[in-house]
Amino acid sequence: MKTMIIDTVRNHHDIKDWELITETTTAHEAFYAFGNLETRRLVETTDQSLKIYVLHQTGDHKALGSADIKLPRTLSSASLTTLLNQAVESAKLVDNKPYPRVPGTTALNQQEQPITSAPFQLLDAVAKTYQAQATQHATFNQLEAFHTTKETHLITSTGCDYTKTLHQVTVEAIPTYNGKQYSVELYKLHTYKTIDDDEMTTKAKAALRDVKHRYEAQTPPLPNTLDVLLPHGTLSQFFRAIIQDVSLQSLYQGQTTKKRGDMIQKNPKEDRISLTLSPISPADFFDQEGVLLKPVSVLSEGKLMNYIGGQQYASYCDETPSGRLRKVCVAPGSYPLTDLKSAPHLDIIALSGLQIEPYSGYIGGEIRLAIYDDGHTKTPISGISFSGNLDEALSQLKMSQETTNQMTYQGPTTIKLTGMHIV
Amino acid sequence: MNTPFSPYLTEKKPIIASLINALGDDYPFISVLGTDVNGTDYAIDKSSSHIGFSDVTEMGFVIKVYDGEFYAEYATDQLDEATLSTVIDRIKQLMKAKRTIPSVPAGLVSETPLTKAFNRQLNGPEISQAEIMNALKTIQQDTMRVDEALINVKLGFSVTWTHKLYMSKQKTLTQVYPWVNMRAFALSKQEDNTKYAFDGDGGMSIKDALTTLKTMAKDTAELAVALLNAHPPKPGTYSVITDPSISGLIAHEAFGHGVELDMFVKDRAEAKHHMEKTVATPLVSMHDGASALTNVASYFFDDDGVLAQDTEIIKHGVLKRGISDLLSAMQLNLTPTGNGRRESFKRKSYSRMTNTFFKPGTDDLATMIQSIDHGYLLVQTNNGMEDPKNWGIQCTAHYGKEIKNGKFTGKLISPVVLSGHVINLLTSISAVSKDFKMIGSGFCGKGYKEWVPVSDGGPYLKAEVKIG
Repeated sequence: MKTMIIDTVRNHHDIKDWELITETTTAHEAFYAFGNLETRRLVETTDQSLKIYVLHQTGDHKALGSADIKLPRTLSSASLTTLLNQAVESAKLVDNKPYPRVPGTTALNQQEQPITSAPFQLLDAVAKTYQAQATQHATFNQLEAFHTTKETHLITSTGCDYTKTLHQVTVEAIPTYNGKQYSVELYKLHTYKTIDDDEMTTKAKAALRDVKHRYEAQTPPLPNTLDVLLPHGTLSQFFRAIIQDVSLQSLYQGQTTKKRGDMIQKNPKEDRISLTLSPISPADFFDQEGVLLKPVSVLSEGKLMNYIGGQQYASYCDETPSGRLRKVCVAPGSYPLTDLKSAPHLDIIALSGLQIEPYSGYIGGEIRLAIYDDGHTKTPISGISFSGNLDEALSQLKMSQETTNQMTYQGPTTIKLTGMHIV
Repeated sequence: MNTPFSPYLTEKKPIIASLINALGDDYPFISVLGTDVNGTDYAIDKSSSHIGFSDVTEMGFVIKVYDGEFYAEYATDQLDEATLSTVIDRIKQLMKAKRTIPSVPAGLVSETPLTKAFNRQLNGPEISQAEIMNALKTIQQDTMRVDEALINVKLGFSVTWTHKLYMSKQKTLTQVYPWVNMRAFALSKQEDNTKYAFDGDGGMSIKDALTTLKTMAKDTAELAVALLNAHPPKPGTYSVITDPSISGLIAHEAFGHGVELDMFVKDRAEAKHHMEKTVATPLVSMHDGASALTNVASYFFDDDGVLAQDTEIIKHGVLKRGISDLLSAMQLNLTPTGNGRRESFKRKSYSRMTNTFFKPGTDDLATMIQSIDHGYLLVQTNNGMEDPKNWGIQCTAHYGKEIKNGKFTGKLISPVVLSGHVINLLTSISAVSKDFKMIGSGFCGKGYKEWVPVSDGGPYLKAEVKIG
């Protein structure tokens, strides 16, 4: 069918350029309740979408229009032509300044190493590994495990012919601690590119330890302000929020006036952020426009090095598109963890959600579990919130020397925000 | 013009019947959900525009099978004569796949025979893409002129037609219904100070949605400029009045998630221990249901083939019942409430909210405002997070209007994070206004996945809340 689609699109007199993406997904899913298997699912689908580009003109005004359509699994040439004609009419309503499409190179194909050839057995093994860490009071009431293989094939009118195959196992775990009078839970999401029993055992044990702490948590009187350590699970979001405004679109639209070399991190008195965006693996080598992905340095020592974005605004700004890069990589900080944990401070284990508003300069969140260290005692805490000024936090930012490497984040295991308000 | 039920799904009925027949000898229960959801998204800002299919667009099938002990599902986007035998084989392989962990005991679904076609149409005519796009361009350009401090105004518009087919040995159900969504976002800047505002809503008429969007865009732009002078609140506990979107957010996050009955099955809901007990003041009654009213989540049957209902969750402060998908209801020996929803045919069905709201009361809003010595009117949902096990609240309002001595001072706070404990908040509600509004432009996740469109809302509420 791909050949028929390409031939039909190529021969359509109104279509200047096009991008055809085919995503074939196989997902094995298993759902467990109290360690028992509740249900299984098998998903086998192929999604095809086509984006077309049409040049159109009104008087002297030239525009590039586009429209994207989802293609059904079975499609005749006549039906496709009808869809294309409708898409062309839609594209003529879109009025964008013309820009060139991403040029292709030779056909390329990259594949990650498969994780397993027996996914359901693997998912049962994963569930057993997690549940094996359960104690008398702490267990996993709910566990969902997914093994997903996704093959993405991009073909474009400008010569891109790229294929990538990615695999991952995702575990959503709900550790629960059942005490004498009540029980508590936490939410944990773990992703794996390879299956390492030791790694899973460590994560499962940590999850159950954390939920025990939540049960033991108190809400003692706390100072009005405290230094706060953010866990690495929140740091991808944290660092992305800081660079949110350095997109090529922001640059073109005048939303940001930052130039290369400008300090994004205002008045840094402690650690300066050096941040690179990367693909999540070598096999994740292109994005939906055909941009070949490679690491892009965005910040160096707090200064703007490069803008980020896709082909449209890169062309408008006469820049190189970074493409869609899914991994945030931050250089290690200068503080050993032992220094960062000098009291008094709040070591956050779990938030209900990190709120960051770069425009208002707000950062905060509701704490589901933290360890309060007053210099003498460590007390599990729950049911409080922290908030503060983001710019002030960045000027005093301290980051750990110790690093972690996860699927979408590589960098300091924790960062310290100074003087957060505690409620 | 009446939009008929999906020709694609209609054409698939015989093959689905063949599939059910072929599997029927081996499996006591088989059901097939077929989906054909077409969403068209329009977007425009000052330098670009876009037309394309929306994120909810899907076309496929999920086949649920029970072998006498265990339920499993197979999801595919290809079901026709040529692939039927392959699909049957894949299902059999799935059911036979070795289980190395004991399965949760599961009984047989009991269905009442029913064959019915449901159809809801737009109010008013379909409008061409050209008219929609031209209207959006005009509104966007006009709104940019509202104030010099505006850097950008972005508008979004979507028209979605949902077609679903549910077939089993006992049932054949079809439904088709539309929804229109509109969104406005404005960015303002003065020197180094940048602020934004947003709004969204939905309805059943394209023409009305475009008219509403014009006013919504202007109001959003003016708010973005006003927020340049907003400050974060001083953290503390305050008397607040929540606007309908915040009231709805509280209903949804603080309580709605807590009564999703699949959480009861896994002992993840504190509400399980509070059925028929007081959880709020007698002023408070709360509902959820796809048939409770007409909004974005108003379907006729859920993704398990159960007819839509209106569930009274809280009645005069007493917790009455939860909402469920089919299998959770079976495990709890309850009647399902028609709340089994999937993000798409590719995802599992969970107990999910639909249209969730507090019922209006009898109080007058002006009187409620006058009763506040120092507090805030909290406006516009930003986001929220559920904590069904421990009844914590985290909701964020985009902004609040300060009230002192019963009058607005003109000062704005932003953003506003509400936190605390569900029961403390609900039992502090001291007034419930006569007003009522639903907002149907949001999505709800379970944890951080399984996104489904929902609406929530209600009246204005007066309560004591911790804000930061």
